[in-house]
Amino acid sequence: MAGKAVEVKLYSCDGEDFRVPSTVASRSETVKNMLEDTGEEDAVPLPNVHGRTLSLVLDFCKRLVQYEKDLQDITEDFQHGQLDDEFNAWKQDFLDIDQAVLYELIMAANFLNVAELLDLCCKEVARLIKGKSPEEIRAYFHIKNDFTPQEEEEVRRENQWAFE
Amino acid sequence: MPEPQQELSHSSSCKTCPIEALDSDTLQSILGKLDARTLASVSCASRCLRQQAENSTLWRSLCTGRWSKPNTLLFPTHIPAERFPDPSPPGVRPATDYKRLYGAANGWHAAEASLFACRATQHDDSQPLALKVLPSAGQLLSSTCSQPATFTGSEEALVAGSTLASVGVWSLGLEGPPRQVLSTNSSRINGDSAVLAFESLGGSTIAAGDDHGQIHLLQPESQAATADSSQASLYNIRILSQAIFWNAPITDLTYGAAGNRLLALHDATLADSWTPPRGSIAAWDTHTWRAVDTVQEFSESYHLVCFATGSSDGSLAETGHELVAGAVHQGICNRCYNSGVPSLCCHKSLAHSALLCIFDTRASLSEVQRYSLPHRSLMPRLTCARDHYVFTSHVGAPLCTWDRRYMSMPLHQEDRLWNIAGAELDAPLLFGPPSRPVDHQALFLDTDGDVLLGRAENGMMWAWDLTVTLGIAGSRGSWMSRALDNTVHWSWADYPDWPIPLGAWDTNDYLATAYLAHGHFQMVGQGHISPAGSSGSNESVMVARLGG
Repeated sequence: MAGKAVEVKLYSCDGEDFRVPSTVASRSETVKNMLEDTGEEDAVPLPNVHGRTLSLVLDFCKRLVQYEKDLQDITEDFQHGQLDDEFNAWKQDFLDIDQAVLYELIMAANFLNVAELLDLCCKEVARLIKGKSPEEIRAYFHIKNDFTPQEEEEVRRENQWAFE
Repeated sequence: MPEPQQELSHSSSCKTCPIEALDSDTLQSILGKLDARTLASVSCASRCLRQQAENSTLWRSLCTGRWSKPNTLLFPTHIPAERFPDPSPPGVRPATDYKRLYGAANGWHAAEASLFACRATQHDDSQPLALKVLPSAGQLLSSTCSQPATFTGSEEALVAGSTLASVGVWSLGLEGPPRQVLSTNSSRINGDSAVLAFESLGGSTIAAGDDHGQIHLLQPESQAATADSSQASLYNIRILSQAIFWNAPITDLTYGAAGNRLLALHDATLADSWTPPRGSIAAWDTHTWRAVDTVQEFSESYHLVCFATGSSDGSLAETGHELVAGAVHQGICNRCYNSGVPSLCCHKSLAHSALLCIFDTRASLSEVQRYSLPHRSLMPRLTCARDHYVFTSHVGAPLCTWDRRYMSMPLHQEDRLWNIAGAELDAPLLFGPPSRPVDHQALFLDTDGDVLLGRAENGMMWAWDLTVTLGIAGSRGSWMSRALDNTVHWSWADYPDWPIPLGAWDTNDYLATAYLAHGHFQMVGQGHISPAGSSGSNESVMVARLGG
């Protein structure tokens, strides 16, 4: 395994290039596999990911690596909770983004296979949906109602118990 | 800023908006984090989301997280007839429509009661003594039923009941009234003894404990004999054990807590003489029929009066081997002693509180834990659910819920139930109001892990919905992890509409029993029926089928 000093180059689809430590880049399973195949000297092209999104993903990976490193260094149990709190607060700030960016992030996390980020984003979307009525969901997520009136009535009847 | 769906290619057929353009796996993992109501709401939003949100896996995990036994048989999916030729092969069950199951609250709230009564006895004036539901005794029926074609396998439960004059066993099917599979006069058991406890030993044998401290075995007669005898007399009865423990009556039996052990509870508070017997538990080896262990409470002044196996479904190995027993102090006053249920006496010194004792059945029934309860009285009946929870009932508190991982105080205590006799009710009771108020608050409790049933001394029955409070989603019922998730915890929340009053089966019985037959919300109890046109009254075994 290469040391921390080794940096790898990542190219996004719009030609932006990122230089990150290989420990950070390998948080993405996809990138990790590519690095294993081609070696760490070559630049890794990521044609599916936009530069803006990639920088967010890499931010998250950096923070995650930092968090895990801190976790190994702690000596007292109470520090564990402290680190968790800090990381959670950071995640809150991190997720303070546009809906459109959030979806890009989900797709990028999915493509790059960063399980922690995907889980975080899915939780965020679930949090946005939670407690909303069908109309609110449609309005919030710009979903077009493609039910016919008969279907609409049927699906309403089926789910009546949820609205009582 | 390019739209994400222009950058990524997806095979999804509907991508009018970004959330619908997400690939199916991601969408499923988002939907998997939602609660049921929101999920139902999502399925009303659009065709694409409806298809995604009606995934059976999502609803299945919601159902199994909430109910310990989802009523899968009640909610089959609609399968096109051409795919499954009718009749479907035996043993093949249709898939379950978990969404419908969730929407119908596992069948409980849609309850339509249909009531069956079967007379336990041909003699009008005999009091009922014991009743027990013997779960999943399918084998018994298959070996004794004359028409195997009508047999529905392990979905049936057996009900055993006894009076002074007779013993009867009925089988509860999914449909129709209960069938009587055994009827006998007590003279065939042993002269003047009366059966107080039953337990199924698996296979085709039922063990019965009597008031002389003897165990009897009820077994089907040989195949040759069954050919020309009627179905109702298919059993012979074998007296098994000599009385031990100075003839203290056997009031409860349990089997299977440890391999091949039948545990018998000898309740000395019901014996005629006070000394020397004490409430004891005896373990019988069912191969050799020897008493291999006997155990009493650690302190000499305490009597064991009830027990239950630690695990309701045996899913945790360590709790399946544990026996939870209740004990009361022997300082029972004369009045309470004569009332019929001595353990309910609360006229003792404050220090003489009731106990919960945990026995390990693997290590020769040693007492491994002992907890003092905040009550002096104890209903001689306790029940366990979902591995960790123990329910007890006392004169002043109809229900105490205990978490065995946190025994310093009850999780929840129901302080007093309202007097339903003569009260104005919004909806009529399922079984009609009781005819008199209760003498004390203690309830006979039974649970199937999802519903807790309590029957008061005047026959009134109450139901608690445990799925609201003990839902086992993700945490195996740990209230601690639920508390950490900031979700509602039983003792922190207010449940103004609890418990649900079900109504009364009137009874003169000193211990009004009622059981839930597992799986189908069948309720079994003893009641008091006066047939039209008859002067006397018959005590009967009654079965109510709820839901479905």
